Amino acid sequence: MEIFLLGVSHKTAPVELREQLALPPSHIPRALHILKNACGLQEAVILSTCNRAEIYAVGNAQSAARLERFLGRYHTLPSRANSQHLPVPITAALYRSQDEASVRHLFNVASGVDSMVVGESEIQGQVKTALETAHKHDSIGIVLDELFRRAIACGKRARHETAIGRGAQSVGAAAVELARQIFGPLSGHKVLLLGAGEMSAATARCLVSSGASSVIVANRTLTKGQELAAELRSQKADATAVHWDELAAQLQKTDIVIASTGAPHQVISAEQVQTAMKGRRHRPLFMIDIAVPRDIDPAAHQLEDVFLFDIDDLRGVVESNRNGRADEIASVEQIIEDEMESWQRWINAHQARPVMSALAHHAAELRDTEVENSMRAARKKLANLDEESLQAVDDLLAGLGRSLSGKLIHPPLRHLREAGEIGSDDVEALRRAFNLETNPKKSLP
Amino acid sequence: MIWLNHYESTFLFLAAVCYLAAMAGFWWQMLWRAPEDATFPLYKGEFVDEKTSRLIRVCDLTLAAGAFLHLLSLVGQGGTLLDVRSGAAGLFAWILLIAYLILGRWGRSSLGALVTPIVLFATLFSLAAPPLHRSVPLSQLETDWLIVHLSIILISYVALTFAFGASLIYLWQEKLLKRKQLRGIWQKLPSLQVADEWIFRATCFGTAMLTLGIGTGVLWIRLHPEYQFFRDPKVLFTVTTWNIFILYLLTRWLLGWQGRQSRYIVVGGFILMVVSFLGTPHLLAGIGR
Repeated sequence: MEIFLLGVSHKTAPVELREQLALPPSHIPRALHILKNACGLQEAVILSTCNRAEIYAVGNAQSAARLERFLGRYHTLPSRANSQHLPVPITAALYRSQDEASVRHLFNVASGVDSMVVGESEIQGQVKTALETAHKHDSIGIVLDELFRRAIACGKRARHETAIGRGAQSVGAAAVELARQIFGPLSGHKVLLLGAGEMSAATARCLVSSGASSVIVANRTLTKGQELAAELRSQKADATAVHWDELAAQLQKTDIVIASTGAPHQVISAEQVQTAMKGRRHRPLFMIDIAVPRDIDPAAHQLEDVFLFDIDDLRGVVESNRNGRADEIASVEQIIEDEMESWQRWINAHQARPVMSALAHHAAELRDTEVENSMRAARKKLANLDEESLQAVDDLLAGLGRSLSGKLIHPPLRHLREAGEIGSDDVEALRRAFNLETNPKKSLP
Repeated sequence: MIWLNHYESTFLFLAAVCYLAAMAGFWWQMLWRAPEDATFPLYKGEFVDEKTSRLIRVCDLTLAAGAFLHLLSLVGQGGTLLDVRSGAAGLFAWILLIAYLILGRWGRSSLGALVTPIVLFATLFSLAAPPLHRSVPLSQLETDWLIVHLSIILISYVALTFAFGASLIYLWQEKLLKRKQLRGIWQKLPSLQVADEWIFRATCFGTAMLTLGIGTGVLWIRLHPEYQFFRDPKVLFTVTTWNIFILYLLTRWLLGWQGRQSRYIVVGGFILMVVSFLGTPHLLAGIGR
């Protein structure tokens, strides 16, 4: 049993490549089902954000090899046709790791160290959502559950014990800085939000707290848009929700567009933007597309007085953020080291569990056999006793058996657990000594 | 104050040195100083790191010292300021500098980087064109008129120069945004909207003053019926320049144009303004003086 990671992130691939491998929320249940059933993985969790698409899995080497094929098939990548391999740029952008490296990577991700915006807190919620989704679709077992819980705890420690998250820019804050570079003070400017998800909401909150007073929320599900509008109204913003069909009309009236839908395709074409610009009389239109796959046709940026930025473009805005956090990153890395040690103890102990289980099972079998034999012998020799007295003898023998086996088995079990935590060879030695058969599947509850 | 006559070139030279030093400082911080944590308030709406703040204040002080030396030079030049183009160029540079030191402080330091080369160029033009002293006998009426006319025209030129500088900043910022170069200098430039506001206000004021200046010119023509204004390239250039700025204002007011195209109109108007100032005979030459 090994832990595998296959993924792509803002560090290894531009948004053009990432969007080809993105797994929108609506696709994740199906993808988890395929991973579990068709790829033969024991456990699988998908972490899909605008900056990364990662699959964490538990399985054997064969099932891990199927992961890459899964990605190619799932996304029906064009150049893959009839090939077992992914297109070269995608293969080069993918990172693969195993066991300790995978765990360390997840701890880095959850702590915000691996984020484009170092120390941002959204990733914490995204890791939690990935764990919950995997639970909901029954694709997770004890190992990944423990790993993700520890990753979330590691992220919390990083934020509480260091200043990594203090004053950290979020994607929303970077969007605000960009918007300010075009409009100056944001008061009086109208914002159009495409999508009512968490990223849209976070960006809208940033814009509203920076002075943008008027927000229009366009969402395919009107009620969800209305909920977000109500939340923004509580921040004293003039927010309304409109139906998706009104999108084109709203493009003419607004100055700032934030697109963050979970749509698997583009929702605004360059032609739509061009039509809107005719009515705007060269008034600049600022568009930020933080969705992956992107919501707005990148060709719109070529239009005069249109400024379209995607998630990767925000990198430049937040780059200085990373430089100023070198000390905090070092402190977080120390926390990650602590968590890695703790994880290593847990996983070793977990790997010793089949031997412990087999030893306990073996001892229980021996005990039960011996107690039954003793009971039969006692009943022959004490045939003159009534049934009540015989039952008392049986109970006595059973209690004696339990007590003896418990006392005998306790020290080796404790030693096994401790040996497992430090990865000692004693686990294997004990297994051989008692000639124990271990079945890993049995050990997983 | 007579002694100033002897040193006006020296003062002007020293002023030019101050301008050169300030310009170097502004451009160095614009192009080569990596932005640090911008938490130190410099001017309204601009936050920079402390070192940059200190540098910009030194540049401003150097400019102020240059402005004082320049003023001594202008006093030394006396009446020749009015009838020699080089003198008018020097006066223009001084007014532009004073306007920057008073108004430009409310904008970003990038305006200083764009204004100082223009100030330096006008000062060097004034310094390089001999002779600075040329006595042209003028009647009291003509002298009074010339003071009013030239002052109005130079103030309009200063405002339109600000509009030009802001247009360059706008186009520069727009280019960086289009190329998605979102580091370094990008953070030191004002926002497009702020630059647009400067352009609009400066052009409104500059065009109004230019209109007044042309009005005082019409009065001059009435005083000199022998003067054939339609043959004077300066008048033709000035009227064309005025038309260009009016075109900008009309497209802005009536059509709501705010984008790149309207910046080109302002830049075109400024180029024509420079040509009419430097490339055509001086006003008095137009009537044979």
